[in-house]
Amino acid sequence: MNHAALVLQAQGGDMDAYSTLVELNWVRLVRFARSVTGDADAEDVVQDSLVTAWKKLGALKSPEAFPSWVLRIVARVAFRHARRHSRLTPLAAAENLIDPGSDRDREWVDVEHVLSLLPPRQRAVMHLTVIEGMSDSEIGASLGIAAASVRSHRRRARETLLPALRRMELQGGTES
Amino acid sequence: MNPMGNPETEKRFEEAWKRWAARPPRQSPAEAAARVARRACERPARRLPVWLYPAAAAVVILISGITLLRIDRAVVAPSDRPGVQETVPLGQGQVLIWLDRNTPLYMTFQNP
Repeated sequence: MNHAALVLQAQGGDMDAYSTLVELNWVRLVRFARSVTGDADAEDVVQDSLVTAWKKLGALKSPEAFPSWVLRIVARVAFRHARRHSRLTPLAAAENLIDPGSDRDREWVDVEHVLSLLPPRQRAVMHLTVIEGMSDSEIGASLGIAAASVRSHRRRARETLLPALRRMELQGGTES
Repeated sequence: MNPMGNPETEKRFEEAWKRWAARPPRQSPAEAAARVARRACERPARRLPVWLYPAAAAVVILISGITLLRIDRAVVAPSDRPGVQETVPLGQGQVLIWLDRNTPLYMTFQNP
């Protein structure tokens, strides 16, 4: 069964249909929230958003737009959460960007820490660009902003990330 | 990402980001769906009607006003004060305020 049919059923009060929608979108939404809020709070943020989405589901005019509609709700909740729990790190203080994880799962870079150098909206734009491979207009529709704003957010995000990545290279973080 | 940067480093960062993002969530989709369904079906906490807040504020203001008026009257009431008999009867626009038990203050209000 496709998204639109499930949405129509859920709009009629069918919780089983809505649960199926949650299952279909859970992983994608958690990945997005991770990039915006960080790993620790992402699942709570998505869960809160999905409860909100259930309550507002009747207002969704076109059922096939559910994936971008629910992503926008998650984005809004994630931005609010990220602002309240701001963990932005000044560039000067970003001394150790190398992943502190265990040897077994150690990544060459602490991705979450690098992302924390960006404001939440720029993290969202970069996630949808890099991870989801979405076009500017798709990102704009999902976040409720113009495509020109998407390009502007992405340019500023890259301007911030580049010095951090260069610093990481100087620290020897590029060594595998 | 940017012609000014090292494309190799940026590409490696994007790859690392993809691996980081691709880790499975702690809750499986089925667990998450069950939790969302449970929370969505919870009855919201009973909230007081909106009109009750201004009504309560109005009652508080009313009671405060009445109390202040009674205090004002008690201040100017001559019956329980010494030396009351010597006070001049109040005329039109005149107000008497007792500064302390023995000190009356007369004020006269007039139109300009």
